[in-house]
Formats: sequence, structure tokens, C-alpha cells
Amino acid sequence: MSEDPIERGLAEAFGGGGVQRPVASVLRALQARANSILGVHLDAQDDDDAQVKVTDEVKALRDPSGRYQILGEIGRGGVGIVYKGRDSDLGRDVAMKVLKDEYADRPDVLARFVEEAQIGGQLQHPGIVPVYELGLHAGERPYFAMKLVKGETLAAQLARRSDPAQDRRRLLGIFEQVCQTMAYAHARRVIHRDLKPTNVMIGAFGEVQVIDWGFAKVMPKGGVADETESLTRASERSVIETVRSAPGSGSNSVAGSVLGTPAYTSPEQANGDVERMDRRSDVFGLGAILCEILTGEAPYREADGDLVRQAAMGALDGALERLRKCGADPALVTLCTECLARARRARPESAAEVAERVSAYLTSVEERAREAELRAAEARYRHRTTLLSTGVGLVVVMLAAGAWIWNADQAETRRAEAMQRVAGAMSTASGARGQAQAAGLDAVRWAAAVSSAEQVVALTDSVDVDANARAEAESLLGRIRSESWDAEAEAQRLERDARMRERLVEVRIPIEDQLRVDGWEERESRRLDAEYASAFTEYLGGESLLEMSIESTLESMRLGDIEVELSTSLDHWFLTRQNLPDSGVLSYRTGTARIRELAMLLDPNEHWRSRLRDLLPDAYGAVAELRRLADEADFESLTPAGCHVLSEALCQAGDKPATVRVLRRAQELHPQDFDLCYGLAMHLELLPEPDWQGALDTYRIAHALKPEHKSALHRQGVALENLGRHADAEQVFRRGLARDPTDSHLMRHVGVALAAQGRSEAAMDFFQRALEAAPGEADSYKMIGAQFLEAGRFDEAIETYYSAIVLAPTLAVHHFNLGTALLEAGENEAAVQSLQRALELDPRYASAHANLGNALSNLNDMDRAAASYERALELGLEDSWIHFNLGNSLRRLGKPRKAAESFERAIECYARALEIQPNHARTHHNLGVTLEAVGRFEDAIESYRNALDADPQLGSSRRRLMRLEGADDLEEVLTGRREAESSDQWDVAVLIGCQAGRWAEVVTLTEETLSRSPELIDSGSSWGAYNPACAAALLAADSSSGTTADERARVRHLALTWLARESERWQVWIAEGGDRAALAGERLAQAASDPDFASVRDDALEELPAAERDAWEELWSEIGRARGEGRR
Amino acid sequence: MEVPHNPDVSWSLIARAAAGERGARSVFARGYLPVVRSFLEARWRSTRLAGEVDDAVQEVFIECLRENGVLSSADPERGDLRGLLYGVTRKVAARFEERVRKRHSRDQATGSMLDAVQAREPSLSIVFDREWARTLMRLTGDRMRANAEGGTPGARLRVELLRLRFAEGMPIRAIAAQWEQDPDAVHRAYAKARAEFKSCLREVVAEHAVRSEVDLDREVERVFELLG
Repeated sequence: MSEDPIERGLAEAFGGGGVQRPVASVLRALQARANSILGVHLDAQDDDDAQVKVTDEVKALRDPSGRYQILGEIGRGGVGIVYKGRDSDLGRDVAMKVLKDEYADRPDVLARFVEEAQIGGQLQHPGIVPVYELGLHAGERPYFAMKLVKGETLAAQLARRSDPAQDRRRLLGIFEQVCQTMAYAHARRVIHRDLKPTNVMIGAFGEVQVIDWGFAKVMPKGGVADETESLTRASERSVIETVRSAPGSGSNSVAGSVLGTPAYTSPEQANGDVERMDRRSDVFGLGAILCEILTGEAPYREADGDLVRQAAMGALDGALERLRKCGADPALVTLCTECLARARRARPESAAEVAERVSAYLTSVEERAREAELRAAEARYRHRTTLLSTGVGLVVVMLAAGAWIWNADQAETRRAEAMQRVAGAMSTASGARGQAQAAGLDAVRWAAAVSSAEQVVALTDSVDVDANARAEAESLLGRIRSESWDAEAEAQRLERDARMRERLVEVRIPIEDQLRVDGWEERESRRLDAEYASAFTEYLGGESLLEMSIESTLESMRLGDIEVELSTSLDHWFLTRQNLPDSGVLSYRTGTARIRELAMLLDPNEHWRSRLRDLLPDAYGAVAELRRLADEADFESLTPAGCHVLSEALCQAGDKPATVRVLRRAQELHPQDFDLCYGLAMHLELLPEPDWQGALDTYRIAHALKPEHKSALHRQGVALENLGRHADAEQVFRRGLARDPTDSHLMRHVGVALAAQGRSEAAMDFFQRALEAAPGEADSYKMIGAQFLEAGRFDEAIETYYSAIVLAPTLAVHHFNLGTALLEAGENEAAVQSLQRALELDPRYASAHANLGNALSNLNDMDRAAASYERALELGLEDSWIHFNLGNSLRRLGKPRKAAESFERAIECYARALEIQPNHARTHHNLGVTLEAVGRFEDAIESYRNALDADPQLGSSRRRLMRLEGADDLEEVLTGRREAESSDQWDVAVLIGCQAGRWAEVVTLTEETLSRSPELIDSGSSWGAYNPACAAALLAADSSSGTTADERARVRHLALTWLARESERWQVWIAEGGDRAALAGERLAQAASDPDFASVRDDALEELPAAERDAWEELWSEIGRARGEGRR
Repeated sequence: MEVPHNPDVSWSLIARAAAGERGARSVFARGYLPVVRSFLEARWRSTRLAGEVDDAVQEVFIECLRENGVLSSADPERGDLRGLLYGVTRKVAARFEERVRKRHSRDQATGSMLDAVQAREPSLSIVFDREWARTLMRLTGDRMRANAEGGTPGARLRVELLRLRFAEGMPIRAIAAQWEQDPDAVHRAYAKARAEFKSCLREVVAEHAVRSEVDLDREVERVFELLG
């Protein structure tokens, strides 16, 4: 072979098999050596060549140099043409089946053609046309030469009859030979698969042959297949089309088909269940032939509708009715009816049995005929004797004397006859017993055997036989009954095991309606718990495993052959119950312990499984040992369920990567196991860094394995969503929804995909539809709440989340969502309560810790805020914002060293975020803020510049940059030595003043700027006069500053005026809608709870003069109303 | 970089096959039959399932082509036809093996024989991959022939050259002599034919799954390696 890979590829692409040379005449070659004419020529038989046609194709095929001379066409089949040919070497006529030219390039057809020849060549029986040779005619056309059978088909003979009863005896003789031929083929494990009258040839000398083995199949083990591997080595075989793969196809004998001929086809064959076809399918074909012999018609008639449909449905009522009325011997009708049974198991086992019964029938007919003849002779004799006796009185006397002797003889004769009948019946019953034993656990056969033996016993009761015969009959009946019960018990046991095995596989398949909606794990565990309980109860004959004694449970379980499967499933059941919250009920705990104990007792000796079992009660604490077990596991000896248990234990131990490794290996070894495939995909999602692409690919395989499993499709949508392919995700979910238009989960997912594409209204529509479809599902409220939250409609979001909590009060996520909405709405105390409730339900809820930190931070509870952020980080929520907020919290708590550490961590996180998304302006900005906090001003300046490069409109970065780069100018602006040149400059100067507590300067600067150039204050989306209002409120509250009460009142008035001014501006933003509306909502919330206004709010107002107090109260009330508007 | 996608093969064929078009079904089945058959033959060699290969092959294609079958849900955007076909083939094989196990649950010989099948799973996937690679080569040859039919006389000549070289086993010099051409010119034509073949193979491989150029180059190399 070439080492050049392209050459190898080209050889595959363009190389054909070796060129085969034509089969040349051996005779001609030998004649040259023999120097004489070789050959013997016998007298030819009388030929009837009337049916042989000499066509243009025949002329074209003639090859004078070849061994076979084609004389004419005899007939055509699906893939081949049968010619009459002459073997010039052996001087005989042959039939040559030549592959049709159009199939020359069809390797599948070619393979089947060769198979037909090989089967014919190897089956040596007078009832099968011998194949002489396989070759290539003229070097091109594959052919095989076989004996030329001269005669006609059984179909032709049947068609000639004017009455079905006509010629029946002779035809049954032919049928008997067909059965015997098929018995031989079956013994060689070959099944014909297209038995019908046209495939039975009756030769000129009465020889009967079964022809056309084009659809024949070699059954596994033994027979022809073992004698030569050539059949199984053929590189390419046919793709067999069946009724199932080609709906509506009613044609027969198409290329490469096992459709057979519908009028004679068994139900399994017509349904395309080719793997279920066996000898009994041929038995059906024999029944069909017999049916036509007896009734004159095939089992299915075109007059009754589509033949294929009739055959597929086994619509035999008409045929059975015709059989009942055909007038044939009941034994034949019964045999035919049994052969035509819809269920294979109800048919005779093989052609041999049919042959035997037909032979027995024909023999009995002959015997009956002979007996009838004997009876007639006896009657004639008695008649003559009577005449003599009336004439001779002496004879009368002699008769009287000998009468008792005659009577005694008669009794003896009757007893002998009875004994003979009993012996025959015993023999029949023994035969039935033998057949039942051979069939193994076939209940029908055993029932027949019992019935047969019962008939013998009944016979011994009704006739005059001796006691020994009766005892023998009863003994036989007892033995058969006992064996029948054993067989029945064994069959039941096997069936019970098989059912349980299938059930356990089904149990492991995750529920269909889960789409990782909240709480699905618990629901799944509860389902598994219930399903395992039910499966084991059924297996134990209706008794609960948790209530039976250990001993009797084990005894019952050990009756079967599936101890390993059972113990592995018990392990899984045990793990499942470990997943469920402990109900505290003692019986539940003892039940769980019982399950584990049973698993251990049932499978005590396998070391690896025992070690795994030991670790299951505390998988979390045994992670290292579990990993070792996984490394040592001999996966190839593990069942899918065993792999599942190991992966589940690792999952419970929290080692997700190891879980995935185990599942990946298991899935490679058991690619057909849906549960492992689906589980792998699920765990790829659950990795610390989810492998969404891997999950998507694996879900696709799972979907291919089990297309009806909804989640395997739906999870593809989820993976696509996470890969950012929202439009693709939407399409997948819509596909699922098309299959089940009432699926509320899918409606929500379509909504989520739409929302991700910015189609909020359409998304909301789907969420509402989901809510209508399933009003009891909290998830719809969750999604609607998220939409409200996104739109800044906080009150509606809060209300919606409350509804979710009412429906599912124990799910942490709903409390988290409510807390988040409250946080967004500025209701920090309520937010803290909700988030704490979420954490009570799920203490490892990292996002809830983070948001709790935000709420506490807003409430100035920095100590607890910092603790919450730290916990969120511990739980793996690596978000740069959390580092940043934690740093701020710690800084404000006066813990500079620790704060610096947090800032450094925040800087690292930002750097990582920027590696992923280098142009994210806010990240640059926040990095700058953090760098500034640790004194790295030059780096901060660079970060702000990067932020402004990414988003030139980012005012906060611009102002920060200005502050860092133009500190002197800003100081001059703040102290009033120069006028602000821009809105940003004014804003930053005010910010610096506020941060430094220089309230008086801020107030003065603001008063002057408002009088001189108010446009500087109102520009863009800046905070405007809000910070000066804060400064004024703080200045007025500071009685230690040495200012007078009047002065403080004046400054308070300024605070009131400026805050009112900003409040009005924000209300305009809300009225306008859009992004600024949300911003306005946030600012109103901040103002309402801002501690800077503590001296002019709530109880503090009592200290103020009435007019002033009223003005402030009116303002706060106005702000409250505006917030309400904003939420709506 | 995105690779241009020829919509007239593979996935569109699958779509038509999945929709029930008989011609497309037949083309699909014939195109990929050798892969399925080789895998099953290798898997069941010397087992009692050796005689079931035909029926199992049929089952595989029925699984693929039946209404709402595997192909109807295949996704050309992210499809990996090899993986799909491999999955279905193994699934069907497993189903047959399970049936035998059930039928002969107490036959130790059968059990161990089928266990041996499972033990050989990894090496069996190599059989599948090799036959898959051969199928891709054959499809590439078909494509080259189809292109040549509607192409220039030179293209047709190059295809004939490849046929003579690989089907008839003729050396280039002998071909040149038969054509009464300068051997160097025939060598150049052969080099061009090789390049065309590789280009066609890239197209065929791309249509069967791969999207990016880098992946494609890697996959083409892998396909050559798989030929063994």
C-alpha cells in the first residue's frame, strides 16, 4: 500500500476491484491439448421451447467464446433475467440467471445475487434446484447457472382447477414435498422468505422444487453460514426496504426487498420486522400455499383491499372463513389455521412439523381407505355366511354352542383395540411432551402436552383397559403437569427479571418535564424514590421492600438472575434518598438504612462495588477515596447503572469534573444508554465553567437516541441560549412547542430567548401564555417579574415575585428575586429580609450573599455587608464587582490593610474580565476607580482613558480623569478663584468638595454657578444639584460649624430648593421614558433614603419651623409619588 | 473564517431523505452503507450475530429514515453526520445484542461472546472511522467525476487518468504511451488531478460537519490518517 495519503485516498476513490476475466470454455482449451473433439451427447429430452423468447438482449449476450450459449429468455424477476442456456462443455441445457444491467453498479443487489447463488449451491436437496456455477458472462454480467427445470409452477396448476376440491389429494402430495424441502432448508438454518405457489416448480416427471431463493436468509449459528464465511464477508449488502421503510409500497419483488408477495406474507414480514422473521415466517408461507390448495384462493385477496395493509394487519378473518367452508378434512383446516396464526409462537415450530402433520394426514387417509376396503370385504363375507347359516340347521346348533366363545373373543378384541388406541394416545402425548421440552418455555406447547395427556387419561376411563395402562397414563399426566408448572414458573421468573431490568433502565431516565426549573432536583429525587419503591414492590409480587423481612426479601430477590442489577439499583435508590431532605420520620430513616443493607447482603463479594457502597453514606466526606475508586474502576465490566451510581456519588461529593470524566468514559462504553448520555450532557452544564458546546453536542446524541424525550431537545435550546445563539434557541424551543403546544416550560423558554433578542413584548406574551397554561407554576411569575425588573417597573416586579413566593414558598430563588427587586427599588430593609430568607433556605446561594451585601451596604451596615461579600466570594462567585464592593466596604470600615487586599483582588478580577471583553468601558472605569483607591493614579488615568476610548460618552470616567489630571484647576473652581469652564469641571469640583466635607464651599460654588451659568448644572445626565443639596443639608445640620440659626435656615432652604429642582428634573425623565427613566427611579430611591438628608426628614422635621416643615414634607411626599410613577 | 457551503449535497440530501423522498433515501443509504456494514461485521465477527448484519444494516437506515427518525431532527448548522450515524449504528447493534442476551440469558458462551464485543468497543470505533474515511474518499471520487462530466475536456481527461492509474493499475508512463503523450505532461496532469482531489475532499469533509478553516485542515489530515 502506498505511504502517500493522497494516493491511498485516490485508490479508494477511483480503484475498483480487480478486473475479472470471462469464463472461457474449458473444453475449447482442452481440445487444443487433446488433438480431438471432446464430448458425449445423450439424446435430448423433448424440449418445449415455445416459452423461450429470443430477444435483442439475448442476441447481444451471445458470446461464442464463452462456455454458456444463451438460447433465449425464460422469464424476468426483480433483479435478474432467467435465460435458457447451453453448457457447451458438458453438453446440457441450463437455466442462467443473469443480473439485470441496471443493477451492475449496485453492490447491495450484487451481494444478494451472489448469496442466492451460494445458498442454491450449498443446499443439496432434490427439492432445490442445484446451482452449477457462479460467474461473469462475457466478463461483465454476473450470472449463475443452474439446473433447467422443465415443467410448470404450482400456481399454474392451481389456476387450472375449476373447483378447489378438484385434484386436492395430488396437490397435497406436492405440498408435502414442499414442506419436506423447507424442513431440510430450515435444518440448515436457511429461511426462504418468499414462499408462494409461483415459487414451486413441478417438473415434467413430477419432481417438485422450491425456486427463487433471492430473499433467503441464513440464520445465525450452524448451517450454511458456518460452512463458509463468504456470505458474511461480502463487503456490501443490500439495504433492505420493507413496508415500514417504504410506506405505501404495495409492489412485490422490488430490487433488494424482503417485502415478499403480500398475498402470502406473514404479518411480521409485512410490518418490516425482519429481525423477528424466522422459520415460522416460512411456516406462514406454507400455510398460505395450503390455504390456496384448500380454498382456491390466497389468504389475502385484492378484492378485500390493499394487500400490504391486510398482510401487515394479519387480516385473516376472510381466509379463515373460507377455510371453514371449504369442506376439507378438519385436520387439514386446523393445520392451515395454525400455520396462518398471527402470532409466530402459535404457529408450528418449523416446516418439519408441518411436513410431519401433512404426512400423517396423508397416511391416515390411506389407512382409512384401506380400512374402508377391509370393512367392505368383511361385510361381503358376513353376507355370504348368513346365507349359509339359514340353509344349514346344524350350523345353528353349533353357533349356539359356540356363542359364548365368540363373545369372549369379541371382548378381547375390543380390549386389544382399546389398548392400541391408548398406546397411540400415549405416544401422541409423549410426542407433545417432547416438543414442549424442545421448545423450552413455550406455554402453548406445554398446554398442548397437558391436554394431550389429559385426553389419554380420559380415554383410559372410557374404554376397557387394564389398571396398569390407566396408572401409566395418570403418571404421564402428572409428570407433564409438573414439568409444565416448572416451565411456567421458569418463564415467569425470566419474564419478571426481564421486566424488572427494563423497568430499572426506565427509572433512571430523568423525568421529561424538567427543564432545570427551580426545585427540579428535589422533584427528580422524589420521583426516583417513588419509582424505585414501585418497581421493587412489583418485583416482589406486590409487597413493599421496606415492610418485608430482610430474609424473605433476599430470598425473593435471589430467585432471579439479576442480583447485580438489583443491588446497583438499590445503591442508586439509597443515594437518591440521601439527596432528599430528611423528613425526620423514623420509618423513612430505617427505610433508607434497609435499602443499603439489602444492597450489601445481595452483593457482598465484589470488592470494588463493596468499597463504593461503603462510601455512599458520606460521599461528600469521601471525595478523595471516590476519586481513587473511579481511577481504579474497570469500566468495561461496569453496567450502565453501576457507572451511574459512581458518577452520582462523585456528584454528591461535589467533584463535578470527576463526575464528567466518569460519565464520559461510561458513555463511550455504553453509547446506547440514554441516561448516561443525557447525564453527561447535564453535568457538562454543571461544571464550574460549563461546557455548553459539549453539552449541546451531547444532548444532540441523546436526542438521536431517544427522540421522544422532550428534555433532550429542550436542553439543546438552553445550551444554545448559553452560547448566545438566542435565535437558534428560540427555534429549538418552538420546535418543541409545536410538538406539545400546551407545554408551559417551553413557552417560558421561548419567552426567554425572545427577551434575549430584545423582543420584550413578544417575550412577555409568551410568559403570560405560560401563566395561563399553568397558573400554578411559580416560574411564570419569576419570568414576568424579571421582565418588569428589566423595565424598571419595580412595584410590579415586587408584586409578581410575591405571587411566585405564594406558590412556592420554600424555593430560595423566589425570595432572592424579591430581595433583588426590593433592592433595586431602594427598599433596603425589606430587601435584607427577603435575601436572608433566601439564605435560610439555601445557605450556599452565592448571589443572595452578594445582593445582601449590597443592601446592607446601602444601609451603611458595612461590617455585615463585607461579611456577605466575603461569603459570596468563598462560594465561588468570582465577580469583579463583588471584589470592588468588598474593597469599598472594608475601606469605609477603616480596615485599610484588608481593604488594600480586596482592591488588589478586584484589580485582578477586572484584568481577567478585560481579557475576555477588552472593550468593556465600565470594567475599565471600575478598574480605574479601584486603582485610584490603592493610590495607583497613573494606572487609574490609563484605565479611565481606556474606558473613554471604549465609550466616549462615559461621563463618570471623564470626570474622574479630569479630577486626576486637573486637580489644581478644580481646586481653584471649588474655592471660587476661577469659573468652571464645563459642566464636568463643575460637577467634579462639587464631588471633590463633598468627599472632603467642604460643604460651605460647595454651597457657595453652586449658588454662584446657578446665578451665572445654570446650564452647567443641568447638562446631560449628571447628578445636577443633588450633591450640592446634600452638602447644604449637611452644612445646615452641622451646629458646630459656628454658623447662625438664620444662616442654617437659609442653607436648608437652599437644600430644599435644589433637591426639589432635581426631583422635578427626574420626573420629567420618567415622563419621557427610556433609559433615563430607570436612572431617575434609582435617584429618587437614593434621595428617599439618603442619610445626608437625615436632618430634614421624618422625625427630624419636628425640630423645624412649621412652614419649613410643611415644605419639606411636601417635597418628600412628592418624591414618594414620583417613585411610584417610576415603578409603574 | 467561514468555509463556503455547497447546499446540494450531504445535508440537503439528508433533509430530502428525512422528508421521505425515495431517491434521496436510496442515495443516502447506498452512500453510507459500507460504513455501517463494516462496523457491524467487525463487531459481530465470530459471534452468532454474524448472520444478522443485513437486518441490522436495514434497521440502522430505518432508524435514520423513518418518519420522525433521527435524520428528521438532524441539524445542518451544527451537525456531525459521522457522530449521528455512529450513534445510531451502535444503538441498533446494542439492541440486537440485547435481544440475543435475552434469548440466551443462561447461555454462558453467548454472554461472554457478547461481553467480548463490548470489550472491543474502542477498537471497533476505529473500524467505523476507517470506513467513514473510505466513504468520504468515495464521495470525493463521485464528486470529481460529476464535476468532470460538466467540466472541461482536461478535467474529464484527468478523471480518466485517475481511473487508469488506480482502477487499472497502470503506471503513468504506460498511460502516457497509451495516450501517445509526453510522460512529463501526463505527470503534470496527474499532479493537478491530485490537487483537485484534495480540494474536492475538503469540500466533502466540510459538508459533513466542519466549519472553520483550521478545523477543516485538521479534519482532512485526520481523514487521511484514518485510512490507515
